[in-house]
Amino acid sequence: MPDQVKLKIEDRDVTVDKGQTILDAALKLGIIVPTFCWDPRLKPIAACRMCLVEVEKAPKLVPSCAVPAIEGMVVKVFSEKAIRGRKAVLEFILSNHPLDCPTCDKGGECILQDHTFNHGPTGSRTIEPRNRTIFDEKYKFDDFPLGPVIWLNMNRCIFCFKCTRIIKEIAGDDDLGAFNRGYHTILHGHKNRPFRSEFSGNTVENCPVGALVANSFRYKVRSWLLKKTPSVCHLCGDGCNITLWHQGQKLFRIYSRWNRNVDNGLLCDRGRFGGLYADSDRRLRNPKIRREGKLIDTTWEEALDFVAGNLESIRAKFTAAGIGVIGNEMLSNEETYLLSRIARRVIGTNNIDFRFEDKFTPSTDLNLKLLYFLVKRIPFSKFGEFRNHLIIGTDTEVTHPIMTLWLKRAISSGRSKCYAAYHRKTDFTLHPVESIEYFPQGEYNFLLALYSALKGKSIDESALASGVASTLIQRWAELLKGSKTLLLAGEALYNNPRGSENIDLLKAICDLLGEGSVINIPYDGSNYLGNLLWGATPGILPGGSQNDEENRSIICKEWKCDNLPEAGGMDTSQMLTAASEGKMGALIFFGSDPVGFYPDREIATKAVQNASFKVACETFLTETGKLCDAVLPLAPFPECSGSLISSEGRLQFFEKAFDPAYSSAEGWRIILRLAQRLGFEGDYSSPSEIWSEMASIADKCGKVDYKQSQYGGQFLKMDFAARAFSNLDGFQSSPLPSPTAEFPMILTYGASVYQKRNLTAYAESMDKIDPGPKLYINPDNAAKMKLYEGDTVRVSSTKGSLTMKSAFDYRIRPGTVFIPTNFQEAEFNSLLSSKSDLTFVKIERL
Amino acid sequence: MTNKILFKYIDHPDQDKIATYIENGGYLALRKALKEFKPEELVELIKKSGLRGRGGAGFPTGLKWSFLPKNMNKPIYLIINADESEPGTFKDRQLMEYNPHQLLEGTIIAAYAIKCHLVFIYIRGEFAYCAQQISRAIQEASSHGFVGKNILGSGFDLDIHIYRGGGAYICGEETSLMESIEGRRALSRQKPPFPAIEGLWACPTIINNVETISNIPHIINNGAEWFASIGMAKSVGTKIYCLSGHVKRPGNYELPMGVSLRELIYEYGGGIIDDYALKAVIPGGSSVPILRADEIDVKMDFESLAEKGSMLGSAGVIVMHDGTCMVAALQKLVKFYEHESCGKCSPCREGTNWMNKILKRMLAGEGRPEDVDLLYDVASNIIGNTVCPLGDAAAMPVMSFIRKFRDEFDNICGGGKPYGTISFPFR
Repeated sequence: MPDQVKLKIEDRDVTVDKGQTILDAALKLGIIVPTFCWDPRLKPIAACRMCLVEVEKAPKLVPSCAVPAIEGMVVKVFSEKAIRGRKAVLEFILSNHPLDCPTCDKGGECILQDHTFNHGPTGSRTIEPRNRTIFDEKYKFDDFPLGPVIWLNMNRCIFCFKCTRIIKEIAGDDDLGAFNRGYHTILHGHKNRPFRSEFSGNTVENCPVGALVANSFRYKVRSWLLKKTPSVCHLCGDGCNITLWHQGQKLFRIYSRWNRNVDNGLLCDRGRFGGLYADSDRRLRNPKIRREGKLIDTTWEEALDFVAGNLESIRAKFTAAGIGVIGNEMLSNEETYLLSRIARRVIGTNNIDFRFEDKFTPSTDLNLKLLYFLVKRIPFSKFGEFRNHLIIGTDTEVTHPIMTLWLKRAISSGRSKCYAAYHRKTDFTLHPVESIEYFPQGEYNFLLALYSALKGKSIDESALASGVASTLIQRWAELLKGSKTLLLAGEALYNNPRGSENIDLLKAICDLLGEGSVINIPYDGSNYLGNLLWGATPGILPGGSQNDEENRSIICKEWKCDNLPEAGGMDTSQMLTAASEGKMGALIFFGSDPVGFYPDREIATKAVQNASFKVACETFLTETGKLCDAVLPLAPFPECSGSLISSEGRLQFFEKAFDPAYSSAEGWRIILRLAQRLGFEGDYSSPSEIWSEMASIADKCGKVDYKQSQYGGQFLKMDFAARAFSNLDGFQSSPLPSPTAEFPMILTYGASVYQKRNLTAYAESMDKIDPGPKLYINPDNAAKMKLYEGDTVRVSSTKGSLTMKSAFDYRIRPGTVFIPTNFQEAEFNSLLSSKSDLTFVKIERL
Repeated sequence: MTNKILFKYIDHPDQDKIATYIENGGYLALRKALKEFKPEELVELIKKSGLRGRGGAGFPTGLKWSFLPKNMNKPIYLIINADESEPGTFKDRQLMEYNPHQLLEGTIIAAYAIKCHLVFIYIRGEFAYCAQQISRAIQEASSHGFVGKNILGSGFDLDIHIYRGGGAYICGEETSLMESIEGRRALSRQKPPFPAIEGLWACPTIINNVETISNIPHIINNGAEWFASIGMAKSVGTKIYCLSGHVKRPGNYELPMGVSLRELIYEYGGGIIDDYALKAVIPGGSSVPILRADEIDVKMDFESLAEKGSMLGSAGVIVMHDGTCMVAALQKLVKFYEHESCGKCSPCREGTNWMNKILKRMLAGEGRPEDVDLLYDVASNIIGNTVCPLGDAAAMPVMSFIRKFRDEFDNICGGGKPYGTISFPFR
């Protein structure tokens, strides 16, 4: 074969593709060549020289990680010369390495230790004192904090440059570099700027020695004492495969589990360090019920009886339609299904939803349209096959950090181009990406302009309404026309007053682009898709079918009941509005916190206060929980089992690492016990029993084929009927309301890159990365207001006002301000009103 | 002192001005090359002339040029390596300061021969005056139409850029030099791919030394046979020998290849200062193995020196007289390499540091008898195990010093006093 080469390694023949290295060939034969600086994801640099092998006729030893295999090559890995060379290299590396293994966090899992054990010299020939690099005298052990989460001990560094290469080549950032020359080389961030890439934790995981260590793991425990449990990250829709390192009921760290199709061994700092929130000692420990106006600790029996008794009496008083269930998108499939079952079958209500952060909850029709796009999912690993990527209405670096790495990889391969449209610049658009910033909530006008431009119609009006120069949109239309494009539609498209029209437009745009163009919807949330499919919305039944007569009868047969509540349940907004008017009897919050996150604090608070009975099931006591009549401690993900469907459409199961700590309990167990008290006859002993019941429903509904097995989760095949998309001829641009003289700025809000709701703030060291809520403002606007960075400002809207520190961010569109939503204490939603689409604010310096 | 080629007009005032240069026959070769030769013929001509790289390795220039891939749609770059940092070598500086147009003319011809339209002249950071001279020469040349669009009506376009280094020895190594131009830390790259296939910005790149390129106009003017007739059979042409150290008349001497080292030191250099006896000579810049006083009856060309176990290198001849302590001299050398190692490869980064520590210990009187063997072993562990030749360059002097002056090392490690009173010529 012309593109294959045959060579001999240690007298064994091996054939590899042209361009593969000697090391690849050796690995193919199962011959382990020791390496430090080699990583299959990075370009080889051959710095450590640990992989030296002897090649016949070559004058010197060659580094096998960098030298391509050549036809007829004869390689000797274990010849005397090669062994001597590697031993020499190891001696050099050790000559200045401090032998502080007993106190080094890497001890026991250190590659240098392993290689020394296997290949190294038995003694040391150095008698000179070892070189020390001391950055700051005040730290013991010569280490110092490189950034908020990473500590560096330069003495231990063996200069494999993996960290700088990961940050540069994979994350595309320039936050970490090597300075100086020779043995004076040091790793450092920019001068006077801490090292804080969103992917900084990967440097720690991939450091072959203990030079880079994480703040959260430093001097805590010996790695060999920890048990490892495979799991799946819950903090975004990427579904990265992780390993939980734990001892007893204590979670120490989260490492990647290397799924080549999903994460490629990389994790973001939110998942790696934020996931440690489960280990916080501020968790809810016991069930609480309200007695004489106070929440007091009680036992599970008493709490569940209290909740069940109250729900029974509410059902008698208000009918079942007076009870509402609000879950959240992080619940596993099993929990969602059970919650849907208890709501529909046991309580008898269709009032169920899982979205409580959205102002414009998608309607059933829109949900079904969104599900239709799932029929053609594109796995992350196939992103590189698309000529163009059009990303609209999302900051992918925040919502899907690892998906963004695949996008960056597609760009850096030179075959793909990215186009990102959002209401501000993002970290991702700092990379070679074409970016457009439209008005906040200008998605509809922007899509209409792009659609018209592709159609060759006039776009002046819609471009003006979207706040983008029409020439720019024309240019995009020209560049995108006819090319195979992957459209990534962000949350801002469907969580929008014109969500349905946006999706219609997106579909039309996709049809106008080149052959093979596909729409993918990266859902924001670890199990958004599972929640849609397993019935956590009023209009969709478990199994993903629409809530109509025919489908209800299928479910009835499975659930062995006569009838299910008729269609027409309320979604979160409707439930909260009804409850605030005193029309709801009971609200059940399952991991949800509307008071903290529903974009109208007034309504959410009133709703919780005015409902006759409310119960919250949560890990940490939230603002909502404080107002509830009963609070049940929910175990976080390391203590639960179940399955998640990532935004990519991958079904992944995870096992619990240990039993729930304190008195908390797994979600499915809480729902089950509550259901049994309300008259549910069934029983499950584990989530897998629930799953087998779900599987039979899925088979009957025929929407999801979960059986196609694949390494690293099953990539679901889905079958949803196409919905009728509207005729776009009548679509007119709709100018957005402009700010008033009194409230001149537009308020935007969203997650910040390091945080997931208020959960991650409980993780150790996350408070150091992202130390609190700030008002982000464009420096141009700030200059006009004579505002300096760090000034305390008052932000006021018609609804209320907040006081916080200001920070500059030139990525924000002038005329808008941004508040991260992840901080409970910020109460950002007290500024918002569910009645108006856009919120206008004024900023005053205090 | 006859037959000077490169230094023919070195004493001529205003040779650095284009008018004088043209008056003395300058840019004739360029006209001839553009008019009478096709690029391929020029490569053949240089091949036939037997011109070898003057930077140190002595690789045939024409052969290097012919390695460029044919029919490639990538641009080809030419880099002139003017990052002359080898201790004991100072020939390129003089060529650039006093005869910059000779270099430019050679550069333009070379670029024409390899079909390159963008040349970088990488000048060592400390050579501020050279950069000034070259920059002025480029301006003059372009105002005469020798650089720029459609040179002399031939349709050949060329831009020449000056890139000034930041003062690192490693940048003289071709792959690090390219990394430096690309804007990164100068860490050498693993070869293959060789620069001629994948060099600057992954495009085919030719890197030549200043002295090599300066020879080209003369080859065009006088023919390949003329050039091949000068010097030895395989090492042809003249060579600028940089004579330094304990000699009476240090300096640059342009002599035909194959002049004897003894003649160079005693006849041209005027002998050893203060009429000391000769102790040792480093014949080709600090990186090459040292020669003892009884070995100086050697012809100074690539082959003859290789036979003696040394190298011509960049022909930086460093002379040491009888009063020199070889341990101290070696420590000075190793300290240089320790300071200049880029830090990429473990053997070089750690090895040079370790060798310097051992030598410093020896000089402080704390050497152990086994340290001599240890030092030799450390050096032999560096050789061949690094990406670029800097590791070899640091290890070769150590090994040769120990081989040839072992008694001094043994003496100092056995508790003896350092030999000699006068320090090494380097400061």
